[in-house]
Amino acid sequence: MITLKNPPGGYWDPAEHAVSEAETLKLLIPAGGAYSDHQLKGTQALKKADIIRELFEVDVFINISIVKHHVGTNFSCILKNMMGALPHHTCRYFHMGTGKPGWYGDLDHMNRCIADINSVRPPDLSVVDASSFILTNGPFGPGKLATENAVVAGVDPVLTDAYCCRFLNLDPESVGMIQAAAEMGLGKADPTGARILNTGS
Amino acid sequence: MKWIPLTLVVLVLWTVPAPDSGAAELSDFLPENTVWKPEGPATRADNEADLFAAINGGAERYLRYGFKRALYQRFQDSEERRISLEIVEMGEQTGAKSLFDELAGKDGTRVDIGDEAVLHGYYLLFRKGPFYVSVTGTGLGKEGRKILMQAADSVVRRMETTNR
Repeated sequence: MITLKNPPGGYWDPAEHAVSEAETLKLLIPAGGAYSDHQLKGTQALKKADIIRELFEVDVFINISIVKHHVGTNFSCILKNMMGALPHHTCRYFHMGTGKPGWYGDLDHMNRCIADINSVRPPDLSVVDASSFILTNGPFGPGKLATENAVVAGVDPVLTDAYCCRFLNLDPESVGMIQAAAEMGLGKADPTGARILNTGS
Repeated sequence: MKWIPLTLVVLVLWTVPAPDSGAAELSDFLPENTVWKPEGPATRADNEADLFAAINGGAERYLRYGFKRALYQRFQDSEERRISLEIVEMGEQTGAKSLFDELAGKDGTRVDIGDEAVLHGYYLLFRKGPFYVSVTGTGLGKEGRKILMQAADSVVRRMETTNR
């Protein structure tokens, strides 16, 4: 098992099963940190990108993200998490690629770049940690904490994000990256009518 | 020609350098005691790319206000309680204030640490000079407030006693 990008230190530590699953956690191998250059076709805003090499070498790709507030996009989850597979300069293009001033001067461009990068290698499974997450000061925090004790898994990354908007009291229609990804045909932006299996106790 | 003295004053104020820590390392400010042990090495961020890598999202907020460098260190005690310490040095004192103002929120409890500080349920933020600091606790229990305050206070004391 390869982790393309490890979460900041200690993510696994508070987990209830961190001790009992210690041997499993040891199987996680961090990616080597090398990126390969890709020319993208059929994308909206991102025409080329450096992407972490191992993304194209794995048989199964699972995108695991925490749902949380984000200072620029208001929402961060599966789709946004893909920026973790990119080097700094590619991420910077998401922010400032059109030359408009400010880190979030062109959110439409950023949302389309996020959708584009998700088209390169869509995840086979998306898993969202909604156990506890920040509602303010995201994505790094610390901030106001919400506890839902929920884990959401889905095969449609766009729909998974759309479903998780409820944790931040957001309407998926107001989240630009979800709309941009849906427009590209990467998934459904409307969780209404989706088949949801609730295994909660 | 009344404008000349005014211009001179403005120029002088503009060029007064921001308070500089002069500290060789931000790690000089890390508290040292026998209860809280560092968990692994500290993570340093000395430039924009480092910052992006270190905090895994949201670096823009810091860069907007004049990020200079940062240090991240986690501590653990024998009861597996954890504290995460974030020390960020901004280029100017005003940058630390802007960052603090944005992150402090309105519903925390103001406490007397550094130049300005706010305590929330599981974390404490303060600023002192050009530094913004967050202290975040995990599993601290009933003593959380006290532990966060003590940790923050020891960082302030290290800042005040470190040779500048």
